[in-house]
Amino acid sequence: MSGFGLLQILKASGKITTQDLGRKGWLHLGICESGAADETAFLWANYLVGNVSNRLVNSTTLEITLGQVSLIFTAATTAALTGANTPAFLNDKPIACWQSFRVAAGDVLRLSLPKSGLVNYLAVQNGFKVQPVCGSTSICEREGLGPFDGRQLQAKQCIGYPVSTQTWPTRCVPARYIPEYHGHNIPFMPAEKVAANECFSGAYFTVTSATNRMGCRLKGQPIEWPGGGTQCVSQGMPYGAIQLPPDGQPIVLLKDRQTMGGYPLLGCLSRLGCGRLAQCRPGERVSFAVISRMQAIEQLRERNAFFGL
Amino acid sequence: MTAPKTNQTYAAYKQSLELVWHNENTVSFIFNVVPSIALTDVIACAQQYISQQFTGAIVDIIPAYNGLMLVFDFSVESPEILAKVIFDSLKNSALEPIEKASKDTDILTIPVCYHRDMAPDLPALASSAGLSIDEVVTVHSQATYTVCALGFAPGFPYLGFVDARIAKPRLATPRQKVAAGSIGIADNQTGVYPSASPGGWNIIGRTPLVCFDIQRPVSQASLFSVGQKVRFEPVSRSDYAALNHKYIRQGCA
Repeated sequence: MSGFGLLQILKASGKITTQDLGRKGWLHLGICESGAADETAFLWANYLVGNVSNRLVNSTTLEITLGQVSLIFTAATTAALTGANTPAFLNDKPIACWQSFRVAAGDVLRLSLPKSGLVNYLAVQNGFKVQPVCGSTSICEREGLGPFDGRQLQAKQCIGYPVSTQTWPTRCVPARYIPEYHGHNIPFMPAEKVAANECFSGAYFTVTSATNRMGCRLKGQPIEWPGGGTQCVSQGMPYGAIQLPPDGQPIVLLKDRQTMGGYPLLGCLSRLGCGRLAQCRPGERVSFAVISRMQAIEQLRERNAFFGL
Repeated sequence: MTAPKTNQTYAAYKQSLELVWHNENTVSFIFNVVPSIALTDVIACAQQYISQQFTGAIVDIIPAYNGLMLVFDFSVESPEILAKVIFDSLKNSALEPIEKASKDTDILTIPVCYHRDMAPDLPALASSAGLSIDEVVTVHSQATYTVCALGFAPGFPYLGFVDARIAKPRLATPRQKVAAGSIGIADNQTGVYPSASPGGWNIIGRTPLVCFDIQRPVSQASLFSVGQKVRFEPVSRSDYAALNHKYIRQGCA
């Protein structure tokens, strides 16, 4: 390590937050988990800049929603961009997503509106350095938790990164691993003994504009909860839970979800499915397909093994 | 009234226990009985038992009214088997420490100032209950409550259960801002707002205690934990001011 650089936000029309893999061990106190909305894209971003050791795999990145940002680096480093298919420019020269690249002091990185997908991750070698809150550097705006007072980053704000003397070689993600973001057949595990989940797997929904990091609100043919009552006793809410409120329009709970909820659950998206849904934009059509828990575990294990999680 | 904690009660709880899988590494253990303080005592001890016995394998446990949700670490080789082991131990041996621990619990005393300046909804609650303000204070501060769940906002405790005479539904329109330390009533539950936030509970007083502080380590961040017994102790306005001075709030207006 030698020295320290700053990344300054020049323009933030899209939303910028710091994210890692989220808070562990605080849910019982009502503290929300947070963390990268699309974990796989987050992990690739760190992988591309060499943040691969046990300690670095969870390095802090910037999560950029709907692009439209402009950032200036004050010191040389290796950086990488993953996630949504977003036109990006380094000093006005186009650069590709899903690869790492060298930046020099004074370089400006600009992102336009994504062509598909919703969120991008910007990683730098050794990660951005911010103070963790409850063991995580993830910003949860809903609770005002995390660095930057738990609020999204604004123009003129700066975020630090250590500058390494050892330059990490640039590399790119093999084409076959670059996801094509779409909302068809997102995998979910149906709740046992809940017949209504058949209505869920067969149908198309639209992602509504009330969607955010907390949850994805869907709109479609209303699903009727069999057996009348639609309120349950409040209980812990898992990542990817598919809630069915009385209006019959499902809500999928994502990283900034509340820790407890009282609506009945149709099932749960797989972890990888959650990442895919988090890349779907308001207005996009989505559908869901059943996956067995064993299959979901297998897929997750394969990914985690690759990234050393 | 707390249900009598007889062996039959526990046997019925054990009998009703269900294992519900959510996703790759999240599972719930649900007691299929009507929530009660006795059940909360069992759940609190189950939480303690699981976190002690399976340290490292479990990332998070959320105890609530009728069960617990567990998140397993990614490194757990066979979540299926781990869940079964926990399920079996709750059904059998794990209820032994539960019965012991639920008998002697320290009661946490929360000083509360019920002065009208800090209790905007106390007059309305008293009049709809047909009681004087002093009577409401007496009823509220004479009972011993149990933390049934923590949530809604970080560190917010749901305390069961208030005397039926002072139970009242939430406000029709929630307040934009409820002061930190505010004591509220919603239906038959009472709670403490750990920090300033919007809220719809009927506010009947305020405590000077800092109930929740994320700067503290996780084991000390919250005064409340599920199963904790709680009492409210009325204090005068001047005592409130003195205590408030002593317990300087952090990050609260």
